[in-house]
Amino acid sequence: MAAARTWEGEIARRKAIEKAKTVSKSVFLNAFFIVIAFLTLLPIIYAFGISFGESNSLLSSSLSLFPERWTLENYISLFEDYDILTWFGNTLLLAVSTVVLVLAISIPAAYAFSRFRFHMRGATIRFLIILNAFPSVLSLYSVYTLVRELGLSNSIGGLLLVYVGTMAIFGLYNLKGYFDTIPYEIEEAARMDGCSTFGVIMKILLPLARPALAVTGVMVLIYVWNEYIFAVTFISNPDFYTLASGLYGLQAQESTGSWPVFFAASLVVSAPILLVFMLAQRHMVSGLSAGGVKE
Amino acid sequence: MKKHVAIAMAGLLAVAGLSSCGSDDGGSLVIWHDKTDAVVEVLRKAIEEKLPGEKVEFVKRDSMTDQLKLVGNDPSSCPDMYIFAHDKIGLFATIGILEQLDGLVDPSSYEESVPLALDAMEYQGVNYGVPLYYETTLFLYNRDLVGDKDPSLPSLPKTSEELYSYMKEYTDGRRYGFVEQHSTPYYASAWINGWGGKILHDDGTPGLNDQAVVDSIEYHRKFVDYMPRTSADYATVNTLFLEESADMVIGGPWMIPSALEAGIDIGVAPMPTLPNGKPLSPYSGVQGIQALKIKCRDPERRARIKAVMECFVDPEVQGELALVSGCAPALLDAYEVDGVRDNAIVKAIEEQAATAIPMPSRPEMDIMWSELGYLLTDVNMNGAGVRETADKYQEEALRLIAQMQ
Amino acid sequence: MKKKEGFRRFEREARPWLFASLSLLTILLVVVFPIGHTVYLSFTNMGIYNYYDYSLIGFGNYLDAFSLGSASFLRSLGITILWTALNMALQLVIAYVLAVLLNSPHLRLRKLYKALLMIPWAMPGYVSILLWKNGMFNGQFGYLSKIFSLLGVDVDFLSNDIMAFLSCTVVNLWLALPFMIMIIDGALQSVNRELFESAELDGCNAIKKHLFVAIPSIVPIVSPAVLITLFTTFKQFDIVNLMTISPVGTGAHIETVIVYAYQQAFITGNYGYSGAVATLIFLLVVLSTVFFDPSFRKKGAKHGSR
Repeated sequence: MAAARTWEGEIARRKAIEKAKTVSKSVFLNAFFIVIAFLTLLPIIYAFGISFGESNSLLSSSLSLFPERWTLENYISLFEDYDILTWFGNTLLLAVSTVVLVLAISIPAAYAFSRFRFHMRGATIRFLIILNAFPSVLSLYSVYTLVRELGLSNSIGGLLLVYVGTMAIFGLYNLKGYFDTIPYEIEEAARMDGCSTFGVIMKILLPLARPALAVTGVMVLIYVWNEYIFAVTFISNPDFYTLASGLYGLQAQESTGSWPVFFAASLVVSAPILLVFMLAQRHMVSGLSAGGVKE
Repeated sequence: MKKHVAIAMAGLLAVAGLSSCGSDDGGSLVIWHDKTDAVVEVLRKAIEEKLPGEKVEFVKRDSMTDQLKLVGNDPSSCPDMYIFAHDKIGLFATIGILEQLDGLVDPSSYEESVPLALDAMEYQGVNYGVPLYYETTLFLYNRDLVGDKDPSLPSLPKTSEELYSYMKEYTDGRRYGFVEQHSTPYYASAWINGWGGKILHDDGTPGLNDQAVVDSIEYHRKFVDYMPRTSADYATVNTLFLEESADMVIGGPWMIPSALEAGIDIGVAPMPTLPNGKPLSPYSGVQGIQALKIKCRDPERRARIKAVMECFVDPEVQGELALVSGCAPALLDAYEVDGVRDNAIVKAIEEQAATAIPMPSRPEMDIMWSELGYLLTDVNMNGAGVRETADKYQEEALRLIAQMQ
Repeated sequence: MKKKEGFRRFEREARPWLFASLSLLTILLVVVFPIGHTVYLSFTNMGIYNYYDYSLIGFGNYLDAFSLGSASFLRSLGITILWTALNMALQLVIAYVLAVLLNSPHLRLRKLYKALLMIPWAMPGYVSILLWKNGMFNGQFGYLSKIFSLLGVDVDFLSNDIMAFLSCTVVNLWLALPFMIMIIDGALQSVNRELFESAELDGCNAIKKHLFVAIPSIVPIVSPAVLITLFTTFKQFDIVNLMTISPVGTGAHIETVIVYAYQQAFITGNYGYSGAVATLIFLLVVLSTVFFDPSFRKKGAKHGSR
């Protein structure tokens, strides 16, 4: 009887230790990640605080991240003094068109490279890998020459062409990688039923490849939203400014340079893309690591 | 499949086609500028009054130099004219995108201008632009903190040594006696010029390690100890002045409107004199209007461009431009316009112009600006020795200039 | 019959090209042509004195790169190599540690933390860089500068070469870690749990477990992503350019080779010389792709289903 009690007691004691260990581990880990997350978000939090503060709050030496007195004046100035809505509209137009066009040209190409075996297939893929490693900023002047020769300089169309071309390799590659993981047998069955290649792509492949399509789209969207060097260099007409070129100008202007307005603009520019990203995040892992990064 | 291709193709073409038009509707003349709305308003009004029916579009550009280099020969993108400081005239003339003024605009209309402004528009004996107004940096101070507004305030330093003692006495963590963009070549050049140094000689050879340049940078360095050492960009200097955390600054006239708006009682004083007895001599920039060659080919357009340029050669227009921009007009008659002669800022700039030096406009200057910038930051921010650093960047400037040709 | 056979073969060969035509033509136009044009410019004397009327001058620009401009060119190349190596090493180590901790069974809120850690990835890159530059590192208002000055230390984050290099590295880590964490995290989840358990039974200690079990098993999964990141890091232009040069320069002199080539074209106007530097970088990229990318080594390796 006594022996049994100690045995039970021993189990309870071990369980308690185990539990204490788990709890302390969990506390430590949570503390660690709270600190990490805070450090990660610090620049954004700080910008947030400044953007809602009065302009003189910048110089205060206090480490408080939030303003003493909250004000919307920086945001009001942003929308009143700058054409941010035009920039936003241009960026949206560019981003959506680029996504649609990249998907439209990449789907058939990815299908070809995934499903057909033909002369020069491997060589072409390797050539594309090399091309993708070339930093496009180095051929900036030549890209500009091209756009000018096509009569598209200083237009949204010119930027669109450049963005589609720049992201075409990624689109092709990412989709091909995903198509590779879809068994050919599924297609064969549909073909037996008399489906054309076009039908197979539209009805069988694309629904199955939805995560890859979503991720490819989001990555292209992020690219366009984030691109500034082409936007700044190629567009000289403020009517065609994108958010990137507008924000860049906001910082560059000597006479108007105001940090609080700049911080407000930074957050306004980032918010939509942050939202899209959060919505797509669920698919990110399956759509990317299964796709584009694998040959 | 074919349908698919066709749709994609049509989409690409449609979007491309749709947006390519609209940028240049042929009808209106385009003028690029980097000025405030108030300046543009004056110019617009002048055109409306003198050239009724003429359509001119003013487009504000942020990095105009880079843009003009790219598009200067591309009629679909480049403007007809641009308004900018004179110091890029040499570059653009060398590239070959500027139209000569002779034969375009009648010289008798603008030759009664301040000589400094006329000289600035000329590069290698050829005239490229109509001067509108000119600016220099100014010695600005907060009258609530320093000067004669109140007997209890410290008096305004007249020499650089007095300035130095002032900085030593009043600079603490929250307040600066004097702040300037000490490592930005455009501002620091005032010290070098005052000392008699020349970063670029008239024949295009760099002078970074000339004795006078080295000495002036060495002398200037002790002042940096009492300024924000590492952040000396425009926004920082401007913010410090607006927040009443800087008693005195060297800044352009473009700083004045925001300071007035912030309620600063702003004063303009002569630049302090250096130990050699000469005052700091800032560079002056002459704002002028230039025409692009490619747009002047068509005789009809050329005539319109000529008319627009000539309509800015008017005392009333230039006087008003000077007042709204806080600069001094180029035309001598403009000083007789109401409110110009007795305007404090115009007067300060006019006086400053006596010792100011027009920025060199040779294309080599681009290299000098960046090499001098490196030299200044290495010395002021990172404590490098002046002599060896100056030698180093002089050599690099020589190499880069050789490479340019 | 024979003719028909030939036609079908032709059709079989031509069909994939037809499918890929729009994509490949766009790539040809927007990517291949500019590279070719840049290589062409590298053999000309295009500069501000011969801006529109440039002519072919042979290998002059290449000779310049190795003689006249050699100090700056080779220096920028060295900085680039250092940059790539340091950033890759830090990124892999930090991302691995964070991913492992995120997968700890004791962490209930892992989804929340993961989502928060992903935010820098979604922020527009240039916005993040400018936020860091102006919000964190600015000597007067930067939050980090404020913290350090309260501690009585005056740190130059961006004007001194070494500090600027480290500051840029911090920003790059901030921007690039989320992707790497996500990739390693995904890979860890696909690692066979039994591997860990069997290692535990054998009495391996934790570090050994990671070194000999976990890491070898995720290497094949993450290596394509690591490769991509390697090239992205090498190609990184925005950070150094925005942090130290444009639109407002801070005085540090840490141009990577990409920034150097860009400056030669757009600041100094030496398009010919810049083209030569770009071409040299391109050759370097080609060589290292052939060297690093497995698809160039497994000759004739066939993937896919048919």
